[in-house]
Amino acid sequence: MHRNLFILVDGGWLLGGEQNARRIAEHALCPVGPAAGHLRDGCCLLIKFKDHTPGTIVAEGSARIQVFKEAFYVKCEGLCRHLQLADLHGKIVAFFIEGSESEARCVVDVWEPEFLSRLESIEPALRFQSYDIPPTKATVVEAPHIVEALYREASAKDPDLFALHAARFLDAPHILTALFSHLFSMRTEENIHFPIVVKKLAEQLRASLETAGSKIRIGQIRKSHLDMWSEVEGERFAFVDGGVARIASLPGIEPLALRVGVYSVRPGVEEPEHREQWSMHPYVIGDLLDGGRRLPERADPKRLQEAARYTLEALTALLHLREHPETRALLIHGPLVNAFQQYDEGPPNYVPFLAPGFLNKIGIDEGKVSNKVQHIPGEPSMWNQFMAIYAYLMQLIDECTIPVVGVVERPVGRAVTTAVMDRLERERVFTAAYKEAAIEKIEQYDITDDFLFGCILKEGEYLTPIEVDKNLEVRARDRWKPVVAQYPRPSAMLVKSEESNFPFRVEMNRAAAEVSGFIARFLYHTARLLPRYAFPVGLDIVDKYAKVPDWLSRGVSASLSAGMLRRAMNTGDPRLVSQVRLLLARGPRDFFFRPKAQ
Amino acid sequence: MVGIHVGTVVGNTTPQEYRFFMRNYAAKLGDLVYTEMDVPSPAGSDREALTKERVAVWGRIVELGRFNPFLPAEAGQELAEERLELRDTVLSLSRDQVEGKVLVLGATPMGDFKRMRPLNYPVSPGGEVLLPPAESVKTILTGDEDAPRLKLGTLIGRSNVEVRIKTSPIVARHMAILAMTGGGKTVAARRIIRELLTLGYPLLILDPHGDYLGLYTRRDLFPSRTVRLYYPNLRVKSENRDLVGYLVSQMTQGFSDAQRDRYDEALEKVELRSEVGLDDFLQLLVQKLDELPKGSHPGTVPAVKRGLRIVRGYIQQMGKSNERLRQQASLQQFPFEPMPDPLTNPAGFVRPNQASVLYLGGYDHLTQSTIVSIVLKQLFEHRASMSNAIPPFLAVVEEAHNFIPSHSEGQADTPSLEIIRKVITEGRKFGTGLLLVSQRPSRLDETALSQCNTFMIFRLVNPRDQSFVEKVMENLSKDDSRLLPGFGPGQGIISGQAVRFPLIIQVEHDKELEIAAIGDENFLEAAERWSHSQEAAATARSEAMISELAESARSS
Repeated sequence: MHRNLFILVDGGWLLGGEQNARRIAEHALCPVGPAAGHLRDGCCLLIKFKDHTPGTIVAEGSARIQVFKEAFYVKCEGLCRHLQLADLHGKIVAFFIEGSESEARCVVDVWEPEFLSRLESIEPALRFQSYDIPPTKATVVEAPHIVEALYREASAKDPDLFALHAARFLDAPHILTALFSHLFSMRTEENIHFPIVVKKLAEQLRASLETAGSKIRIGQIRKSHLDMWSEVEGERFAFVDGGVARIASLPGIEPLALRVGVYSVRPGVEEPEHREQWSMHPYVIGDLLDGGRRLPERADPKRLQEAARYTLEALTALLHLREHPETRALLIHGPLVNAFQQYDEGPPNYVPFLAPGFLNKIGIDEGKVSNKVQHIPGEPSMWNQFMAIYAYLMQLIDECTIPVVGVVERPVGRAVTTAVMDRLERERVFTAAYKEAAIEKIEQYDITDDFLFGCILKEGEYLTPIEVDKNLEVRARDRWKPVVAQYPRPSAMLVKSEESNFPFRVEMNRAAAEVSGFIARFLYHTARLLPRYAFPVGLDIVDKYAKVPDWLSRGVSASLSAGMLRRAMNTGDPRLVSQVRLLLARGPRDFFFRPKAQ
Repeated sequence: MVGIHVGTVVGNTTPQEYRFFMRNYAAKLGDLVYTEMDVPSPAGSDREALTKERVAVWGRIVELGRFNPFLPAEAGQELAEERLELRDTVLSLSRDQVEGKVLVLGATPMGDFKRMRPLNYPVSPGGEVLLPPAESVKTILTGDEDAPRLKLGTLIGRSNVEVRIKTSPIVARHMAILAMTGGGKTVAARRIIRELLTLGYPLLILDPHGDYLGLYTRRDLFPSRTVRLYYPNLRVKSENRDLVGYLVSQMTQGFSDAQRDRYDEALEKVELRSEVGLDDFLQLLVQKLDELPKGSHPGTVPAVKRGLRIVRGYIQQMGKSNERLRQQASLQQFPFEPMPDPLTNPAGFVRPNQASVLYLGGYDHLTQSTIVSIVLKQLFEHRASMSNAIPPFLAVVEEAHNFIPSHSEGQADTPSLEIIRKVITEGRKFGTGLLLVSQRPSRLDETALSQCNTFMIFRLVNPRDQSFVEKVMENLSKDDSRLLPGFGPGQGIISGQAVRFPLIIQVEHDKELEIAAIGDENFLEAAERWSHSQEAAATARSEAMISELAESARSS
């Protein structure tokens, strides 16, 4: 059962007696009295306390509760060392414990006696004396109203130590919804521990990232709209997103078309015609494919749609930059580099080839692709297969001197967490053993970047860029592995623009990574323009612009269906009419195909 | 007809209305627009030979909404808090969309806009919405009738399209002009009066404030027409000898049976060889009452005399007040005449080429109502008796809420209510029309108002007035009534038999018919002038003398 409690220990008692002093010094056992609420012997604790170096928060993940001769102890070397050096005489050592009987986090804080008397003077109804507060030796405080009052006061005194931002993040209503949905995919008993484990990992990682010596760190953004917008006045920023039209009533035909929208804007420019530029690039997928190079099976429509969308978005972005080389930065809604290992021409997806004619029209030919992308398989060369073209486009984007950025609304994978763990281990911020233990927890609880960094980061903070590998060669077909190896590894950072919302992931090409501080600031300020949604507003605008509304798809569907039926009727062949009607009537759950009751 | 493209029909349509997306700045609220489409041909009832016909579907823009789907409302909060200008950020300014609703008015065959009929087929989605050329609008407004028309003004926003309304429904089937103060009701009434007077139609104007005296000042605008100005002058003769009894019943609590008997006895004794003024007649009556033998109830005669005194007091006081008003400097130029007797000399009021203005200033509502009831009743009876003593005429009733108040006002016994109700229900048969003008529609008698066949509604802000107007006017849509609070002076909606369909108009302002003396008085200046007047000096002198007296009393 998940509960919160305080154990208040008198500082004099803690260090005063011979027995306690010996256990602290020799056995790293910090006494907390004869009881510890619902915590069991062996309960895993994450201990957090403020070190003597001002502002340094220490998070120790290997602590546990130990019962010895009917007395409870917190076994933690770091904490014991810290307490031995502290002057605790006349003070109270407060242990705030949050979690279940076997898994909890514990914040240790030292309070002056006035802390309690001040609180009681504000809220006399608390009647501390009735609860043996201040403690003579050690007192377990479980009464909810006392725990709440103490937590409120203590967290206000030191919000960093109590990680108030993480609590607020996990308690935000829309995060709770996502949290519950996440918890449904896990075993029930792990549900209970999930928030505590996330917080514990977040606190450890935050402490690790704040450790001097780590190249990857938490950056701070100072909120100043005036500075930001005056800095970029008159400069062009472009936002790109794609939308897909589905033809619901014609099964098997989707995707039929997609369009990529570009919203380009120059903040601070007066004249609307010079300030904003909108362009829409529609593509009919059938027209883009190479009719001369057929595959044994039809392409998986969903995969073809994804491959087309990722490719055409990147292509449109490059075309826009070719037309507007003065662009200060281009932002794409979604990842900059997608996981593209499985869009090859083989089974099961059979993703086809792009028409050379189409590619030539936009200045792409076999020579250019083969020069840029080595070891393209096939005889003749599969240079115009989506995987090769995507590699070509991605390399162009990576080499582009203009910052190009992909922004992912909710980073649900673990790419950044994994990269950060690897990096911190390489930098010896923690050991391989810790990394292994942490990754085990992350996998066990299916902890994703959004939840973990949602707890780690505060509003206005970002994780500095770290290279992430989106395309693992092992997942690719052997003949495509050399090409997949050439997909660029974008630099990713996570930016949190609002305390009670998920951070968004930012993937950058090399030019953007060089100015990552500016990119983070720009994205933060554009996201602040959508305070609750907490996503860069330019991308929200282009998302709406490019999205093919359902009513439009529906309209096209109805019109296509009617046209198809009319043509069938015009043939005068009743069998054809009947076939077309059946085809049009088919749907994912059609009553025509429902099993009949006997 | 080549119209200007303003938008495209979208969404679900009906034969009554449709929505459209509009090009920015292409049209305005209230504009007449059309869209071309095919409808089943009227002749195509035979299912085997379905035919269709190309028509222009006419409509009026009754709703316009503007939104920028790319400008999230949430951003407004941050912009406000940070005092940021939108254009300094990456937010979009340029993608406004204007969506409108059009109320369908009817359809005409292409090329023949005079024949309008109801649309009986839904408007075609995707159709082009067009702004018609001025000539086509004029044709559509007038239709194929050649009957005389009154020029009212222009369409709002299309000053090149004149609005001319049919005359006959106004003069015979009654019209109401409703607006809050300053909305333009008097301007509109004056416009109609001017047009009717130009046509030579007989007019009787019941004018409590002198708003129509300008007709006389600018009589040069109406050659060979006469404008006569009257003030109330009740006279008694043998035919209307019970006038006093009527006045007593309206102005006091009336007579008891016993008092009525004594009054009748006195009335019998009065010999009327010729007509006498009301005041003289009242004196005569009092004299005859004194002469009556004392009865068993000695208090009855004094009670009757008291009633007569009250009526006499009222009439004298208000007559003087009216006289003072007429004699003030600004009105001295007007040759007011005592009003003719509507019973014996109705032609004094009503005759072709004449507008008679009965100036009721100075009289209270009750007396005004009494006078109006007497005049209207007798004139209408002349028409109803088919005596041909007077021609058909139109009576303009300003401040109509004082003459036909609603039940809720608790003035069911207002003298003029009954006769106006009668005229409004039966007047059409006898060529007696009413033009009711009021600033408080909700205080008007609903029965009387609903008999009006044409309505002109200007700015109305009071929600009670708005909902009352909606209730009374059958063809005022919800969308139209939402326009009412936003109208500027002289802007309004006209609906009913005088027009083919409701129109939003700007009434032409006949400034030359206004007299600066009334309505535009500069009271600041007047107050300043008063401080230098003889009256001010007398007041100051008196106050000084009073204080001197008080001082001397204290010192003694």
